[in-house]
Amino acid sequence: MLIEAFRDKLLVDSCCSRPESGLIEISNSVRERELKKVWVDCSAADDALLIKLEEKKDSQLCPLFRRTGLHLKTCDGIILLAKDGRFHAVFCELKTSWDPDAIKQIRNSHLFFNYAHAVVREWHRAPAEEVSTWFAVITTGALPVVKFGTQFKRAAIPSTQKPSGNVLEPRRLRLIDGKGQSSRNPLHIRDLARL
Amino acid sequence: MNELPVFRLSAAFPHGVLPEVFGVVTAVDPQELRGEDGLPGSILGDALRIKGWQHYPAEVITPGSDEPRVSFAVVENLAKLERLAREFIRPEIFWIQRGEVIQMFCDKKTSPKQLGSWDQLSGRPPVGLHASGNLALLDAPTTAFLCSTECPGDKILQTYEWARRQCDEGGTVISGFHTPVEKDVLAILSRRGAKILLVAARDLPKTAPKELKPAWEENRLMILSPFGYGKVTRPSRESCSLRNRFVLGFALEKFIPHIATGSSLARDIVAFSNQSK
Repeated sequence: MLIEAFRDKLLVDSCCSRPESGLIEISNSVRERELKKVWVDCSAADDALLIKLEEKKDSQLCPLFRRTGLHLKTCDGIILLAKDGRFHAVFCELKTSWDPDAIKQIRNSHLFFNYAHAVVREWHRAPAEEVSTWFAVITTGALPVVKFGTQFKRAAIPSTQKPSGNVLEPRRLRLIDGKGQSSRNPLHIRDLARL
Repeated sequence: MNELPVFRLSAAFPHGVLPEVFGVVTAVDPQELRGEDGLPGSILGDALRIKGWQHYPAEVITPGSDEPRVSFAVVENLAKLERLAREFIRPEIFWIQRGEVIQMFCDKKTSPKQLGSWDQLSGRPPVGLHASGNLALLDAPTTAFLCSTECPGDKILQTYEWARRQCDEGGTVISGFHTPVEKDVLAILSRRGAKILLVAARDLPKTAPKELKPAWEENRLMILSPFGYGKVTRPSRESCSLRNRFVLGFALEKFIPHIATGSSLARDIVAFSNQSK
């Protein structure tokens, strides 16, 4: 229901449904960057949605981001997942090197997501489902894949797309929730951002 | 038979005036995202303040809900409002044009819906004053100016001198600008930087006279009408009399260089004095 609300009503222009392969593609907003694309395997989820926001310097929503600077600079994608009746939002940021700006970008996206979630609650005039939020910074050398579930699998990166130096070896990556707590069953992104 | 959904809209415009065109945007305001002041609607309110758009508190009650939604009445053009609503992920805006309320949807799929007249939807007594232009002018100290059609030459010169002084001092003048001397004064005020409140003796005209272009472009003009849309479409003796009495009642300071004996203006001033006693 929540995912449908986001898809059908709120973010018509910036939503992308899960393709049949179950792999959601997240591309770097800066095209020249080494790490151009990653695929997030969401096939194990009941439903998934990629929310991609356009960066706008003159965004009218700027007052929402007053604590992070008056500029809507967002992360590379928010994946909203439904699994066993629970909802998770994963804020993904692709980085070729560690950059404190990523925190600002993820925070901005988080604020926007909270705002959009409040819109959904308002829209349906009923408390919307709880959403646990996760922040993920994906860097080069990382396994650029998220498999939602307990079985982890690498996604295929076409050789033409494979950036040099992107080592495709499986590593255990952790996710940290909105309160800074590490997951007991770590998922699979190599680097993490603690906000 | 199904009952039609009923909306309720209200807005707190200064002096009970209703702008010719404006939009009402509802705000969604999660507690945790509110601004420093913690007031409802502060995110949208802050955006409007930063942009410098004229906005006033409003309320919208949608069908099936008794709770009013915090909203803002924004006096801006439709394109700007649509962009604002889209960025704030609002489902719709209420666009009010010459007293008629139209519900416009942001999803681009649903056609706009005519909801009815503002008076009908506000559930309040009919609006007594319609306006277009800069609403902030209503708060400035204003001088009422009236002059009979027949006016001696020396009084005309005195009036021109007074008009030029108003321009230099940046004063605000309210008048019907209907008689020849009043029209001359309007041209001076428009050219030379004074603020103008023009009161029409009919419903709000759709276009402003050409000579008012400089004032309109510099945002120092407001056209007012005490008549509802479509009720008085041409000035008449009665509407002019009502207009003059409105002008006299609006401002504490008055400048009336000449009142011709037995003129309509003389009668209006007597009627106004009796009315105010």
